Amino acid sequence: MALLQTSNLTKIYNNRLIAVNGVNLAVEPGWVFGLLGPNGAGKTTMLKLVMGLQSPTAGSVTLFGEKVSANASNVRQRIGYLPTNPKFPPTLTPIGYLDLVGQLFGMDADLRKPRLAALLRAVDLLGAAAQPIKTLSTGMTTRLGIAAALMNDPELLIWDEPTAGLDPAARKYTLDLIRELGQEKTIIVSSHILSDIDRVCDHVGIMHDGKVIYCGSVADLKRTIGRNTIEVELDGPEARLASWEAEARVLAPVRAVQRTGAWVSVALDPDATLAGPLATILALATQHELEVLSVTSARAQTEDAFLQLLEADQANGFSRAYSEMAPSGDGAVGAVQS
Amino acid sequence: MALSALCKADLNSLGRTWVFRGWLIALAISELLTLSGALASGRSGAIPASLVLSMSLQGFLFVWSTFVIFLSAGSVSAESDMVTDGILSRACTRTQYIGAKLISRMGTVLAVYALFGGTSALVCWRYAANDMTPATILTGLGVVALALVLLVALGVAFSVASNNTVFAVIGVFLLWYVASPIFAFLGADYLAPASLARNLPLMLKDLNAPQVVQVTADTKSMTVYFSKKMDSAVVEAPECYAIEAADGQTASVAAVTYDAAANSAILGGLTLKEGANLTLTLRGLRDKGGSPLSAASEVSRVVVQGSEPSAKPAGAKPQRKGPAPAILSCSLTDTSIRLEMNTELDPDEADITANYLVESPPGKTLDVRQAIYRPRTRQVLLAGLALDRESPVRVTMTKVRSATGVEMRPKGSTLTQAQVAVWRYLLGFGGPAVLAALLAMAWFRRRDL
Repeated sequence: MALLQTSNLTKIYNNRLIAVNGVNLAVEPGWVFGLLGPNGAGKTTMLKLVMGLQSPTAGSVTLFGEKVSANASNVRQRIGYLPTNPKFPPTLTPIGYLDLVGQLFGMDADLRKPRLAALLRAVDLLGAAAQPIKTLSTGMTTRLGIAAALMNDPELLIWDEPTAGLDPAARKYTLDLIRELGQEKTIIVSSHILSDIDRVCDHVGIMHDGKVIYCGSVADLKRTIGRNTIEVELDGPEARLASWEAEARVLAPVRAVQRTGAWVSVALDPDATLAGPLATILALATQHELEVLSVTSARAQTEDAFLQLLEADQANGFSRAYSEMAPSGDGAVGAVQS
Repeated sequence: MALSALCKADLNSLGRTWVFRGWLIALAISELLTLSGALASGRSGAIPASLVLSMSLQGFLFVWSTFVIFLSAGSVSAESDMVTDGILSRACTRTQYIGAKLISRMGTVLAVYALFGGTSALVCWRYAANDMTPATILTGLGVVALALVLLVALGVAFSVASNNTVFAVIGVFLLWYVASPIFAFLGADYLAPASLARNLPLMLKDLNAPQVVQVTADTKSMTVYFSKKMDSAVVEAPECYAIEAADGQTASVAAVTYDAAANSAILGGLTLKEGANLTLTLRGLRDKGGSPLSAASEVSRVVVQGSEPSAKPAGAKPQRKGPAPAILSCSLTDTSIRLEMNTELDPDEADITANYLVESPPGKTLDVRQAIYRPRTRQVLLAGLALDRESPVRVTMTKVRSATGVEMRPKGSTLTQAQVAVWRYLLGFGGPAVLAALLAMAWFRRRDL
C-alpha cells in the first residue's frame, strides 16, 4: 500500500490562482521521492496540502492510510517537516524550540532532552544553542529546522527545498544527510534544482503549472529520454577534432554528431547500448591524440529529460488535459504513476 | 501534553513582551495612587467602600482594557509568519493552538486582575467605610472578570479573523469603547461595559444591610430607629453603643430596650445636656437575618432636644412658596426604599403610608408598612416592603406638600428604579465570550496557512 496517495488533488486560491491541478500521486514506503519543478509549479502548495496545513479545494490526501485534515495531528506525529527558509518563534532559543517540538510530539523529558542535545550537536548548533533564534543565520535556521524535523524520529520526512539559501558546504551537508536518512526512512524532498534531486532521489515527480507531468524512477526517466546521447569534451587542435568528428559520424550505432567548440554531442540509435559505442568513441579520440576532458554526465541527461517533459507538456497542454478528462480516467493516473 | 506545552510557550513569550511588563508597572503605580487617595476620603466616611472598589474595577474596564486588547488582539496575528513552520507542522491541532492562546491570555489577564482587583477589594473591605459583603465583592469581581474574559476572547477572534494586528486592535477597540451606546440603543445594555461600570457600585453595595433611619435624643434617653427588624440578642447590648459629645466627653449607656414593633432601640439611663451635639457610634449590630449594619449607618449625629421638635408650628398657615416637591433619587434594599426629595416636606403628610404607591413590577402594588420622614436630610424611608431584586420598582407620591404648602406636581411625583440583575451581565458577557472563542477556533480551523 502506498504511504502517500493523493486523489485528484486540487487547490485553487480565492478562485484566482490554480496552484495544484488534479494531482494523482503515490509514494511507496522506502522511496526517496523528489518533487521537481520550476518556481511557481505548485510544489510548496502540494506539500502543504499533504501536511494538512492547507485544505484542498477538491480531492483528498491519504497518508499512512488515514485521510489528512487540518487537525490531523496523529498523521503529523509520524512526519518530520522542513519548510523552505523556515521561520521559528524568534524569542526562543534552539534548545527551547526543540524542547517545545518534543513536547508537541508528546515525548517525555527523559527522551526529549538527550535527543535535542544529540540533534543540536549533529547539526552543529551547540555553539548557538542558547542564543535567540532571531539572531541565527539562514543556514543555521535551516539546520535547526532539520533538527526539529528529526526530533520525533519520523517515518516520513517532507522537506521543502532544503538547500534553498545555503552555501555550498551546507548544501553538500544537507544532500549527504538526505542520502543517509534515505537508507532507513521515506523522504519526499522538493526542489527546483535538478542536480540536487538527481543526486539524492531514486524516484521523481515533475510538476509544471500545478500538474505532475511525470512520476517514476529517476533511472526510468533517464532511460526513456536521455540515454542515447553521449556528450564528450575534447581538447586538441581543430584539424584533429574535425577528423575525429568525421570518423565518429560513420560508426555503426551513431545517428548524428554535433560539435560546438570542444563539446561534442553523439546521438546513438534508440536501441543501442551505451557501453560499446562509448568505448569506441573514446578509443577514436586516443587515436587522434585528443585529450578527453569529460564525458556526458547523468545530470545532463536528467536535465534534458526534464526540459523535454516541460516542453512536451506546454506543447500538448490541451490534448493532455482533454485525455485526462476522458471518462475512463486511466490517462490521468497512468500519466503520473509509475 | 500539546495543549499544556503550547500554553507554557505562550506564557513564556507573553512574559517577555514590553506591553505586559508595562501594564504591570503602570497598574501597580496607578492602583497605589488611586487606592490611597480614595481610602483617605473613604476613611473619613465621605466615600463608601463600594464606590472606592468600583472605581478601581472600572479602571480594568476602561483603562487597563487597552493593554488587554493589545495582548489578545496580537496573539495569533503576530505569529502568523511562523505558526505554520514552527508550530502547526508538528503534532498539534489548530484547535489546541487557539485553545492554548485563549487559556494562556485569559489566565494571564485574570491572574493580574485577581492580584490587583483582589488586593483592592481587601483594602477597601478592611480600611474603607465598608458597605459591602463578601458575596457582593465576589459578585462584582466575578462580573468584571467575565467582562475581561469576553475582551480576551474578542481579541483572539479578531486576531484570527484579520491576521493583521493593527486591524484586530482597531476592531476590538471599536467594539469595546464605541459600541456601548449602540447596545444601549438596541436595548441590550447588559452587553456594554459602560453599563456594567455604571452599575458596579450598586452591585458591590450590600443592599440587605440594615440602616439607621433616624436618631432622636432628649436629656434622659436616645432612640435609634432602624430600617429592618434587628437581632434582639445584640441590639439590646449597651456595649454596642458609644456616645460622644463634641468636647470629647462620653456618656455611658446603662440599658437598651428594643421595640420590635417600631424597629427602634431606646438607650436609657443617660444624662444629656439640652442642645448638645452628640455622635452616636454603633458597633456589632446586625439584623434578624444576620446582615451587619450598613457602614454608612455606623456613625450618626444628633442634637439633644428638650422635647420632641415640631417641624410645623401648630396652627401655622402654609405659605405656598418655594419649589414643588419632587423625588430626586431613590435607593433600594430588599425591604426598604429611601427617597431623596428636592425640598423639605410637610412632616405630617410625609409620614402617612397611604400617600405612597409602590409597584414592583409596575402594575403590581406592594404594601408600605411604615413611612418615616427625616426633615434634616429631606429623605423619606418606606419600610416593611418585600421587593423582588430582579423587578423594577416604581414609587409614586400623592397628596404630600412641601413644608411651605406647595403641592406636588405629577412630573416629579414618580420615579422608577431597576435593580441590577447580575445574571443578565453573566449572560451578556459570558455568552458572547463563549461565542467568540468558538468562532476563533472554527475560523482558524478553516484557514489556509
